[in-house]
Amino acid sequence: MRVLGIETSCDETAVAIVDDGRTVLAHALASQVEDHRPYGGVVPEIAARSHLDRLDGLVVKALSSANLKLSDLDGIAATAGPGLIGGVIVGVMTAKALASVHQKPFLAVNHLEGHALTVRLTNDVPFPYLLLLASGGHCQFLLANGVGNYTRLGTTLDDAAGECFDKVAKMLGLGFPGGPAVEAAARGGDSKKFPLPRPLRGRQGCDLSFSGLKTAVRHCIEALPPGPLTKQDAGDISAALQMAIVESIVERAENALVMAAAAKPNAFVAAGGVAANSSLRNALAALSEHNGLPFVVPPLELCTDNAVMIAWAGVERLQLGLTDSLGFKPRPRWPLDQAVGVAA
Amino acid sequence: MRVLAFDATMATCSVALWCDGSVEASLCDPMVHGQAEALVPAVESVLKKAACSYDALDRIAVTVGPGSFTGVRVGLATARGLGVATECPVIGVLTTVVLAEEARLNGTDTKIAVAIDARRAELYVQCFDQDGEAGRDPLCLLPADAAKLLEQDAWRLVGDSAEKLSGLVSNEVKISGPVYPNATVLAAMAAQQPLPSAPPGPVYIRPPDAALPKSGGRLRP
Repeated sequence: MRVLGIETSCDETAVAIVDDGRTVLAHALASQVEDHRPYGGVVPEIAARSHLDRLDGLVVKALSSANLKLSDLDGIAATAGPGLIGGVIVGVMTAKALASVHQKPFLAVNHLEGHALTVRLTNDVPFPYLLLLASGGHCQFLLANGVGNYTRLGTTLDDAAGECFDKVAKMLGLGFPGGPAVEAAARGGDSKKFPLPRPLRGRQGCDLSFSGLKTAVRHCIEALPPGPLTKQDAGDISAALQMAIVESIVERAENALVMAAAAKPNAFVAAGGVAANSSLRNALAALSEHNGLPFVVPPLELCTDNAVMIAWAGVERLQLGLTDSLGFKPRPRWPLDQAVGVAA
Repeated sequence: MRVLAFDATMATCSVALWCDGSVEASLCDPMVHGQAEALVPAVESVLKKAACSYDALDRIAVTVGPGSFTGVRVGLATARGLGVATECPVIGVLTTVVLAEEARLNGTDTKIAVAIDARRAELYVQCFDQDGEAGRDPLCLLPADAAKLLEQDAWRLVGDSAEKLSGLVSNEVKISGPVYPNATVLAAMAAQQPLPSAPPGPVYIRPPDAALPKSGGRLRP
């Protein structure tokens, strides 16, 4: 079984072909980072325009590199939400067109489910597992019970962790995307020079919060003597922010592990772009080991947005007959714990 | 030549299957939103009504704007996807040109001006002579500036903002359909066009709504 997957929900235009033997047959990706860099963040209309310009060419490229025709595929999957709706629509309409002509099943994939299922492609992790999904748009703890079956244990009350990284990188002039920029700047920094809060520390549950951290960083910068920000200050603030985010997530993860224990999870999984942060990976690995659970993260290139995860989610959903109608409405908001498919 | 044509740029979802001057099947549903859900099922419905398959198509035609940015992308992403899947050439035609062509076909003894709601109190406007030849590319203008283009001569106004514009024009104007692009007219036009070397691109006219942050967003220069 081979599924072509399309990802257009943010600033990566991507097409992949994956089979049920867990082989990635093709992955064609066009990053829009340079288009958005001058703005210090993703501009939705620029993103939507760029997806339209590039997507059909990437479909042809992916098919060519896999040496396959559309008729050789068993299904066409696309991110159908949540995300920037202009781009999501481009991906969904392209996928519907391909599916209609070749009478293949159309699979409307929840982008978050793509992240959630990636470790089943890379590591064959069995259900159930505890999942930290941390990206630029989302930050939540979930129990992954099965395909289309998720229980949300906690979520951010305001900003996502990735958004906090991006906004602080912008304040510090470190560039875009912010996560890797802050991580790189933090390497030469003193994490203790600027004390930052640990939001929700000691609270019950595993909800998260990051907007206060962002504000605290702003206050730190404003309190500095007048003049340009020194490289050392930027490094120290980056190190302090990274430590605050990591410690906050780890403290909340301790509660999530307790909440998930009754379900007897087989692993603790981290996914999403923020899971690419090495300090966070190391801290969560240590926590997981302490709790006697294997810690699993996808390879770095599959933590950030990609089409491999969408194609794989398509494979998993197609195996269960969870296909979608060509009248499917793209969804800018789509909580994962409602990602229950309808067998067509 | 058989052409599958569709438009989703304004407040309808219009699909037509056209072959050598005859309409084999067509469908036009009014909708302000919802083209992303409606379009592909509508295409399938038109093909089924005509007992036709994608294999029998020679061309795919789509309106490329100006119009709703989302609608432009719904149509173009679908058309370009169909182009990859069927290996048929995809022909793009301006929304304003399709509207003017229908006005010309209906018969007019004046020049034609197309006015489309561009939101934010602006209009997309393009002027054509009596034979449907465009004077210049479509523009995005405030209604008062659009009216200045029509100060001389008599005009036939078409498009969803024809009435709005007519109220600002002092000389002779006549408002009489079409209001939205007709996929049948689009199909007939696409059949006449030379084959493009690349898939059509969108015509937004208005640039993306994005302002560069001061000092790149840095709190310190």
